[in-house]
Amino acid sequence: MGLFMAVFAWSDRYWQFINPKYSWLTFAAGILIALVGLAGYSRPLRKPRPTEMLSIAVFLGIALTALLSPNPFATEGAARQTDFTNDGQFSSDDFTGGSMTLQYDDAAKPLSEVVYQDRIFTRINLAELLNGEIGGWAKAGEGYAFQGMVLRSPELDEKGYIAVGRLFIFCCFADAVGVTALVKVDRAESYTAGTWVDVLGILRKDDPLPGKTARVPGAFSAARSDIYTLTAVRIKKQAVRGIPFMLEVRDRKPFAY
Amino acid sequence: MLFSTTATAIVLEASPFLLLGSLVGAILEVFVSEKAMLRFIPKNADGQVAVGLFAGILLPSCECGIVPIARRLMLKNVPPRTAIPYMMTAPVVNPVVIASTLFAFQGDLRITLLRLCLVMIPAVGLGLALGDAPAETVLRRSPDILPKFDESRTAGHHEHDHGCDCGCHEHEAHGRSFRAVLHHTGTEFLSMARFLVFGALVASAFKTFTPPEWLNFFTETTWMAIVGLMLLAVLLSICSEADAFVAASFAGFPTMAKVAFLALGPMVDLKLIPMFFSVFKRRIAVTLILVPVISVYLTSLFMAQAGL
Repeated sequence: MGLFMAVFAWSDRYWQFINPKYSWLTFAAGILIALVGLAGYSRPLRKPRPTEMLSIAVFLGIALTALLSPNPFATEGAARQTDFTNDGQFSSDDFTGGSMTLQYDDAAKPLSEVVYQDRIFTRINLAELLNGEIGGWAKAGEGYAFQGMVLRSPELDEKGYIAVGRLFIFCCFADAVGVTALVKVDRAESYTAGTWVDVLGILRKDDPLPGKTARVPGAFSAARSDIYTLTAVRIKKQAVRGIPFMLEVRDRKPFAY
Repeated sequence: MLFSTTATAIVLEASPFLLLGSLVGAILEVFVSEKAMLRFIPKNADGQVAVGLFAGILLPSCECGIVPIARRLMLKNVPPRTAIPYMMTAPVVNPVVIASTLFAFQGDLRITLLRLCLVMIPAVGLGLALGDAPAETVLRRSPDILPKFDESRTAGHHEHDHGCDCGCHEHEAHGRSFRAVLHHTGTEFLSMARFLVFGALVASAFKTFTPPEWLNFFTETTWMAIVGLMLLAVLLSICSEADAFVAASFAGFPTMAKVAFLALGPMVDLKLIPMFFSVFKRRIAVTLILVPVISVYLTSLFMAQAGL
């Protein structure tokens, strides 16, 4: 188990389970577990109980199943967008994950703003946007660019909204919280649920908001603003840029996006 | 896929803290004498409870690793009125947990203080009730004895068979102590890990296969909302450092229901319940589960009715 943890901390799928900022902890714990295991094996003083060995075997079996199964969070989208404005290009298109070997916040440094139709849209992630709405520094009339998964419901369709959602991971996937934003669109039916999109939208106050909070796959609950929605300026399907989860929440530019 | 990912994530996240708890317990066992330990414990009952309540600030631990530490403390004759409150409050008075709670609730100090209050009430109650009961009446059985390591003899001491000053036995004694720590850590970790894996599997199954819409049933009234989120806290078994973000996302639930979620989870969840039954005598384990549940529920309901 210790060796598995130590090796796994370097895997480029580590982010799928735990916030990459803890990969050092997994690695250190793995080494120590391996050491204590070796100490116990070299001079065994009691026989391990069957339930103890079974639990380790079950864990390793479950972990391997998770690793060998296809990753459900690398959503299918259109071909990777290459026709963003020059201000919107990522510096690296090859970044795929986060772990001790890939410093995700160094590998891709998106520019903090997108300029579209002579308007500035601040690059931000949904958790940061919600934080700004609650904190009062995100204001109606401002433009924001964010990415996430399209979520739909009959209630939202009727009112002309889609929800865009993304998972926020503080520690590990088990603690994932969904964060959504409602986006006013022309025709909700033209957006396929589950598609990963990049949204340029204008923040506005909207009262009352339609519907219950849409559910983000992978989370038991989801948060959204009580009073703000966005009016879509442009929504483009795209492949997931970087890690699909939100791993940090910044309160000033450049936001994590 | 979601089930296996969630279960793996829970075990990977909790393992370092379980290991840390086992290691701290092992160090206490090998290197800290009973006399040294008791030097830090006041003589009076109130002082002993107070030390237990706030020791988690200096010796923080996640709920995953707290049970082995509490057991070792009691085996060193730390009275249960110190060890049990410590076990219950350490995952919450933890500075990291306080910071994450404040952050998740946008700096709302009231939520943080209410959480602390709801945890401390049953902790004080159980601490005073168990008093200075001997360890053998509280704990189910001693940890595995390691006959080749006589920690009390080797920790800080060394014996010379031949009276010379070569220091060879000193190295041997330290080596034995180090190996003793490793063996104690491994034994404790292995023993507790099976409950961690079991709890992770059940929590993951709940999260994966239960439709979130069932939560809507609990939003009808305040008392149902509190019950619903308390149940969720036990079933989701989220680490105390991250549960505030989950609690903050429960739209439509009253504040005290969210506080009840935050208070109960670190004291009773699917990882802790089997650990309690493994470490404590049955009636003590049942008490450790029931008292926090009843206390958190009644206190939350009272505070909700009072308009908090």
